[in-house]
Amino acid sequence: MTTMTGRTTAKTDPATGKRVHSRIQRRNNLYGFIFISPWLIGFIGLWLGPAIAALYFSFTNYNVLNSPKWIGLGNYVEMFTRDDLFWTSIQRTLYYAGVSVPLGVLGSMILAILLNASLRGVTVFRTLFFMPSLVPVVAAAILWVWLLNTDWGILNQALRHLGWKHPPSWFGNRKWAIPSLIMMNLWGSVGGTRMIIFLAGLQGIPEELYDAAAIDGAGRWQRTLHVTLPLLTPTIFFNLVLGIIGALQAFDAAFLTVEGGPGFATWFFGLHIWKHAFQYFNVGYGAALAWFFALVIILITVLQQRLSEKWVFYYGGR
Amino acid sequence: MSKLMTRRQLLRSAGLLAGSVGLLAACQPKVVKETVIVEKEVEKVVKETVVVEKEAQATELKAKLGWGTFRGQETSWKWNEERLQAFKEKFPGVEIEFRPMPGGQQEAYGKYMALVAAGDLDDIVSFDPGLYHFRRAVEAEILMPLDDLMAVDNLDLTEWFDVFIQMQRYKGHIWGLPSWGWGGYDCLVANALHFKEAGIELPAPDAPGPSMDTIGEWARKFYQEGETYGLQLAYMDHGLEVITRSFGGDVLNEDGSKIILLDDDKSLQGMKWMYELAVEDKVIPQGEDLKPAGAGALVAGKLTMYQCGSLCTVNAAKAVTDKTICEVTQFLYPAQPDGHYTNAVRCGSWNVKQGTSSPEAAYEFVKHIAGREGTIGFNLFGGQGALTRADAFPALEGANPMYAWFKKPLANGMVIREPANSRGQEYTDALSQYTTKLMDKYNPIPFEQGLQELVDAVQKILDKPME
Repeated sequence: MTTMTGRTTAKTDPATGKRVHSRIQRRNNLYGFIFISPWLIGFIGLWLGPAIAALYFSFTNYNVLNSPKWIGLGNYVEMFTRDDLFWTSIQRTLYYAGVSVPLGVLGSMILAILLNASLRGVTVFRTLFFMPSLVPVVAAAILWVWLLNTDWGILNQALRHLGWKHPPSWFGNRKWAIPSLIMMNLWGSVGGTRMIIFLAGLQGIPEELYDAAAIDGAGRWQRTLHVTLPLLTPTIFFNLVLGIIGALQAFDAAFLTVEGGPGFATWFFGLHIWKHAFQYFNVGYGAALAWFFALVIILITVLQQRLSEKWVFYYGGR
Repeated sequence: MSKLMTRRQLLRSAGLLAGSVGLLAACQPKVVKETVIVEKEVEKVVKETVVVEKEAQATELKAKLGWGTFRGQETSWKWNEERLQAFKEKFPGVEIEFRPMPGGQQEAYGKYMALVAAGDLDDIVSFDPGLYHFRRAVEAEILMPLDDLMAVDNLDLTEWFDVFIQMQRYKGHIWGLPSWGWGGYDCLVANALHFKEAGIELPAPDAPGPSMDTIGEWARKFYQEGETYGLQLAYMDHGLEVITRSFGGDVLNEDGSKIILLDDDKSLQGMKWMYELAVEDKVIPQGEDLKPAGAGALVAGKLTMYQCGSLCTVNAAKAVTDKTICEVTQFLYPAQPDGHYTNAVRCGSWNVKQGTSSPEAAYEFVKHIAGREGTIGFNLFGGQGALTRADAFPALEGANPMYAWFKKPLANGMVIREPANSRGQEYTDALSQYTTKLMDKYNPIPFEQGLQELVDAVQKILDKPME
């Protein structure tokens, strides 16, 4: 049967009750697969295949030089009971994510609200705030190590000028190492893609709602609180989910600046996985850590999704 | 009748006499010479025979091999190309394909592992005893022992410093020839100007140095808050090894199965010495306090001495731009009671893959790149520190007289102790991170507590099974 739109639909075989696709439909399906095949090959070859292989390795003792040896849940038991750095790395990662994500999302949102104004030269400001996000992480790491140098860094020189006689040794002090990485992250992320997404979200808020609020006597702050923020919640939710996923996978900045130090202060979970898999060649154990963390991130995302029903408002319904 | 000779008779007699004497004088040596000539000819024949035999061997040797390493590439691979060219002239039938491995040292071992897994490992490789990858490779039967080939060849292993040959040995076999090699963190690189200004006479750069108490005093003396540091220490395995050895102790026991920092009084003394300087007196820079650290701080006049090794001295001297601020020198640690220089020699290895298609050709190439010319080139053109042979030193000293300082410590040095289970990288990370934590002047912890934590963590790694 051909529908009004010209698309063919499957018929049902009266004898078997199964759906039967016509030759045209089968051909259309084939073309569809051909067109998505480059992505599909990449997905299977570079993501799904390795993920399944890693799942298998997570149940083995595998050091690359010898064949994987099945040990069942051995790696998972070791993770929870014998690996001192397992809980250390989780704690470091949660600390980093717990501070950088809310600050980053809040900062991006405020910046986007400010840059949403129709002012002369606002495009220049948007560009300037966006530029740090374009700096490669390696260059940013080198830059921030110099900026935060204890004796000669610009930040400490400024703090001494303001009267702080002994400003922190940022990357040299275990207490200040993660805050240093958070600063570095916020510098690149507040004005980056997150801000652009917020700007897009703000642009999507109907103007008539502001007009209606203004007519009802709402001031600027009230309009922001009762119109802007509620209608921005889907964007906030989106940025929050992506932000948490990204922060939990933190690795490069910690690796490039202090390689997990000083004294394991920045030993993030991503670094812990990398060390075991690629430096210690405990590939099986590294795979187990990776799969464990993937499941944790999935659970957190699902939890966020469930909680979003309580606070995310979609204009026009979900 | 007169008995007087006539003039004619006299002349005739004199001529005969002279002729006889001349004949006699000529005869014997001539005979000897002839004998000698004959002998020499015999020698020559023998030599020619040998030469001919070797040439025949070299011509007969035919193989196609791969050489995979990241080493020597810093100077656009000239050293690698030069060695290949020189080898081709000696062994025209052997074709060696150089497969450079981009990236640095640490990435190389992962790549080697991947090549092993893929069955594509090159015939000549470089696993480094000084970086703990060597034993793992031997245990995994990746490498071929070279004892038999060396015995047939009658290779004189005394060409290399003994410490480097020792490090090629494992489980009763010898697995390679030294590639790079140096004294490890065997000296304190120093700014001589600071000492001159303070009126302190430094010991000779190649003689056993002052006591650790004196070095500690100097560290305190040259520290000026916010201005300069007197001493920078290396909180890593080789750095700790040298400091504890300076007190007569060590980090690991002899077989590498136990960490002895708490059990051995002398090792404990060494750790306490560091703790007092770093945490109690707060005169040691920590983490990113000093940036740039090491040579950069030294040549800028911000640091008086830092813990490093022989090659650091050469590199620091090259970095000096203002001789009114820095004059690079070095001094060593106090000697061991048995006379050994206190160091922790580290080295690499040129190895042959197990199952190579031509062990003889691969062995000849390893000998070629670890030989005198190869070692000189590796240093001067390959950008590597390969202080593995005494006969390379004249050329190195000709390029830079500082190299003369390194001979004695290498000729009389101490090998490193490595984890028995080959978990070198885990051991290094744990030792480095927990030592940094123990020596943290900003968040001080009690010495005994921090050291116990360090020992427990490292012992846990040493107790793991061999991979």
